[in-house]
Order: sequence, then C-alpha cells, then structure tokens
Amino acid sequence: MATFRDLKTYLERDGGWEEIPNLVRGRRRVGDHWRYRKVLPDGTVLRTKVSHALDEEIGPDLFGHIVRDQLGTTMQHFRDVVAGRMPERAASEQATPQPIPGWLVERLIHTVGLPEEEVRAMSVEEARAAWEGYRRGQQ
Amino acid sequence: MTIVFSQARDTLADLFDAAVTHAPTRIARRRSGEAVLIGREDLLELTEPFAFRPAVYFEPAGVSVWLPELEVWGRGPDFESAREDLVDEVRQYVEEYLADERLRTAPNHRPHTPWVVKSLLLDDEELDKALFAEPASTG
Repeated sequence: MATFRDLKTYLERDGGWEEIPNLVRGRRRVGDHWRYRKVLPDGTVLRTKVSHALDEEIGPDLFGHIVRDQLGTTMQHFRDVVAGRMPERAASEQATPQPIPGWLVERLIHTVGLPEEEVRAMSVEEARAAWEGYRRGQQ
Repeated sequence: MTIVFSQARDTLADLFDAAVTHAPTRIARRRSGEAVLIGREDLLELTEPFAFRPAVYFEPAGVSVWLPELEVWGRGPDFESAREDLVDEVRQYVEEYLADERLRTAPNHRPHTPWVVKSLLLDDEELDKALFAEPASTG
C-alpha cells in the first residue's frame, strides 16, 4: 500500500514534475494539497496532487487511478522510482475497478437514509438492488 | 449571423441583449478565428448531455471519489467531505484550464472542454448536484 509520502517521493525522483500553485483561493480544502504537473514531449500534460497528510495511506482504487490516469505509468515503474531504481518509463496499465457510481451513493445516503457504514459494505450490485428496492417501495 | 470584431465592439450592448434572449452571434477577428457570444441558459442546455459519472471508493482510511470526465479526485474521512473536496478540485482544475493554454490544448485535456464549460456555468450548489445527478438511464 502506498502513502502520500511515496507519491511525493515519486514526483521528486521521476524528473520533470513541477509544483504549481493552488489557484482557488479562500476555499477550505484546496490548500490541503501540493499540486504537480509534468509536460511530456508529445504535449501531454500530467497532473496530480499530494495530500499534506503524508503518512496517510492511499486506498488501492484511488491509487490505481493516480498511477494509471494521472501519472500515466505502471505500478512497477512507480515502485521502482520510489525505491530509487530508475527504469524506463512504461505505458500505463489498464485496470477495471468496480466502483459505486457517485449518484447512487448520494441517493442511498440522502434519499434512502442508509448509514454510510452500510453503503460502504455494499458491492455495486447490492447498491443498485438497494436503490431499486427503495424505488419499488415508493411506487 | 457573423460580424467582425470592431462591429461587435461597437454594438456589444445589443449583442448581449440578443444573446440572453437566445440569439447567439458569431464574431470573427482576422487572424484570431471566431468566437460566439451566447447566453448562459443556452450554453447550459447545450452542455446538458455531458454528464458527470463520479466513482466512489470506500477505502480503509476514508472515501475517495474519482471523476473520470476531468481525471481529478476528491477524498475525505467520509462521503460528504470527499464530495466537498471534489467540488473544490473541479474548481481548481477549471481555473488551471482557463489560465494555461498549454493545459487546455494538451491532447489528454482538450477532450475535457465540454465538462469544463459546464462546470464554469454552475455555482457550487449546482455543480454538486450535477456531479451526483442520477443518469437518465441507470441500467
């Protein structure tokens, strides 16, 4: 499992990443992160952010998106760079995590009234079934 | 109707009134291309099909929300704080996008334009609703 410290280490060692400022002033949460950007030769712009809570672990699903979609690389390349080995940059991996859609979480908590802990324990299928069951009960 | 920039400058008040009553105007400027003056309501309608599909991950240390349309994430100890963080993150992304031509013309960011425009048109409460709106078809 990776921490935000590992992510920051990667950005410092990978090369080409520059820190960019928070542009949205006066908001409570945006200042809680460092932001980084890297421009690749083909014009692709990679960007990510690192929480100031450096010792917090990044959940595996979010970490997958950060590595694949924001850093544009692979888990192996990430681990190698953090460990101080400097391999060739690899193309990003494809993965198919099964998240619960945001609208469905919102409905289950705020419309159905389920506790967040209960929603947390659900699979996507269970979450959809709970929502459909609620809707049928309303008809 | 297309008019040239100098003519648009001289009649901006009339063009503005026309735009907010659903009559957009194409404005051409030599060597710079064309822009369109269009009412907010009309643009909101045009961006309606560009839905957000955030994915929620309940992870050991908290909740993460990944937004694939803009490739950004929000995170917090519970769903509400992750959701708030995501709204702030979208604001940060839009500011970066508008401020930096290199970002908005990058091959991996250029496709984000419809969702950037949509976000720009919405206040925080509207944006939160749009982010977690139930899709027209949830199947």
